[in-house]
Amino acid sequence: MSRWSEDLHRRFEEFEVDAPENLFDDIMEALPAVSAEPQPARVIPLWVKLSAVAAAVVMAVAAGLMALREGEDVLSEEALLATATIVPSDKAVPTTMTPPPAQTIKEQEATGQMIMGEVTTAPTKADKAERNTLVQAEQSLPDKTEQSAPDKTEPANPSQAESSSPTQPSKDAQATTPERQRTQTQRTIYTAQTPRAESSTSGRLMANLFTSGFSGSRHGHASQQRFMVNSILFGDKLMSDAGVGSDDTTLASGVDEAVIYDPSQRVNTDIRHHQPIRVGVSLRYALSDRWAVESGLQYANLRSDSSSGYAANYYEDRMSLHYIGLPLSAVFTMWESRRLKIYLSAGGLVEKCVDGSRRTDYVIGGERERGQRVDVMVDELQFSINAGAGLQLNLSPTVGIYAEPGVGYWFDNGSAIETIYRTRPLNFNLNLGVRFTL
Amino acid sequence: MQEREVIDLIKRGDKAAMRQLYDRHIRYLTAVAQRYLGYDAVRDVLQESFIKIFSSIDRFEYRSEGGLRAWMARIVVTESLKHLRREGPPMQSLDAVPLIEVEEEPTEDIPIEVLHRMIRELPAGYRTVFNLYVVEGRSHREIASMLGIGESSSASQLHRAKSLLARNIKEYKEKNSLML
Repeated sequence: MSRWSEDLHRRFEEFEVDAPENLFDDIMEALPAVSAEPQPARVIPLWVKLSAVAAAVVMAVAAGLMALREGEDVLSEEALLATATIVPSDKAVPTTMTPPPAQTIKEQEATGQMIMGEVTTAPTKADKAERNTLVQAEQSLPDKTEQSAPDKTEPANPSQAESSSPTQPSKDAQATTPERQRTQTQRTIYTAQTPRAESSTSGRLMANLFTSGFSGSRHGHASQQRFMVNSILFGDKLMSDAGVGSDDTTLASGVDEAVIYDPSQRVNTDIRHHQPIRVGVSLRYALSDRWAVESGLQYANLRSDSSSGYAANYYEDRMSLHYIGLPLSAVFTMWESRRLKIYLSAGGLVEKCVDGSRRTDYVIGGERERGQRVDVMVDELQFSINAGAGLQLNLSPTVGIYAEPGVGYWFDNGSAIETIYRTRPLNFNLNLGVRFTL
Repeated sequence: MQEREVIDLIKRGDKAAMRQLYDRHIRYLTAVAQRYLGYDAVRDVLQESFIKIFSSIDRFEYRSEGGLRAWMARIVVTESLKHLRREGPPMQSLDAVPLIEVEEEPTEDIPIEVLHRMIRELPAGYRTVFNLYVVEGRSHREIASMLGIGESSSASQLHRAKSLLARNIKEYKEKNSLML
């Protein structure tokens, strides 16, 4: 710089003028989320809220399953009663009944049988009637000890009896036959009523530890590129607007003196997104033999490294984001045997970043300067959809291992933070896990 | 309060600290913006600049006194150039550098406010190059890269800026020497 220039430079360094009026207020208005007092950088309440909600959902589903399991017992009991309700078409048919030996419902269900009491009936005109035979299932009802000549049995659930007795003519019709057959029929009825198929209606709690196996994406580019990492830092928007040097990302501003501006050198920007690590717990509820619905809770860790600069002067940025996710999928079992199971699944996932941090190290002339760790947060929710197939190998009745290759698509949520979700929205993944059957 | 403390407070969203930073530097930064923009859009550019400053101060590494002001000034310059590019005519690529060097008119006797005004009054292209070269001390190569023009263009613009300025300074001296 010539002396003349130096002079002017020095003088202008000190020179100040009147500021525009009320500018500060306008700045504050335009600035997002300004507070009067210092506040902690973390958004803790949301995280707590979200995981509480998720935990509650999982609990509720689990509780619901438990309840349903008991309910099934009750239901089957009532079903038993209902079908067992025989209403003679005539009134006052004297019957005597020998109460069968006490038996728990569970035993009945296990054997799929029921031990009926023997009933002797005086034949009536009701032979042709729909409901004839007369066995009462009353083992489990403590208040039904005396059965002398009941016209009608009162099952625990009258409405059900009403509906089931008249509407089950076909089942009861066969019961006009002699007792032996009757018993048999009813046994059939009862077994039909109380299916205890292992897979279909019972709930499953699965602990899945899975790792997503899609390769992380790697960007290497020597041209101007919007990368959030230091977008304001290097005024990248300026660069892309300006078209300043189509190939060079110039560092005209530079946050501090760390990256020394040298327009003759190309800036290389390298961003590497590591594959997310996922851990999850899920709960699968079977709707039928083939269909099930699955939800749960997932945690994912997204790591990104990026570096930009010249040979001896560059910065390195490391970012780590923590996401909590709530998946919801439908699962269809294509084929199943004792050992193997093949299924398809499709569903969606909503994730929220609950914590994150980044650190930027500067290397100047080969010397490294550690940067400060800064909190990062992605405010927007992250939605994605996924589909896949699964192969499960049952090692024992309760434990199985599975592999689920699949594909997922992560929707752009408009966040400025660049993660692997944004750079590679379509991803293949492979989940491996252990499934426990309760 | 030390500058470093102010920065820390701002990182946590302390409005009072922001006010303090603003008050401390706004007059200087306004001068910078005026020097680049002339008479146009100074307020808007300053507003944009401060939004950027407050948003990205968490990435600023405090190193030394004066570092912060320099950083802020760089942001103002960047925003100013952005504005000029957007609003004004494109920077022309001028023809080759004339052979005669412009004599640098001595400026010691000229009040800085006057010089400031003279620079503001230069045409945009000349003004930008003059500011970057003379006041900021950048090379023609850097300037060419920043503005998307050729190096020789940059040199031409500077040459013309200096000529104009020299003429203005001479006129001013003549006018005022009559009164001295």
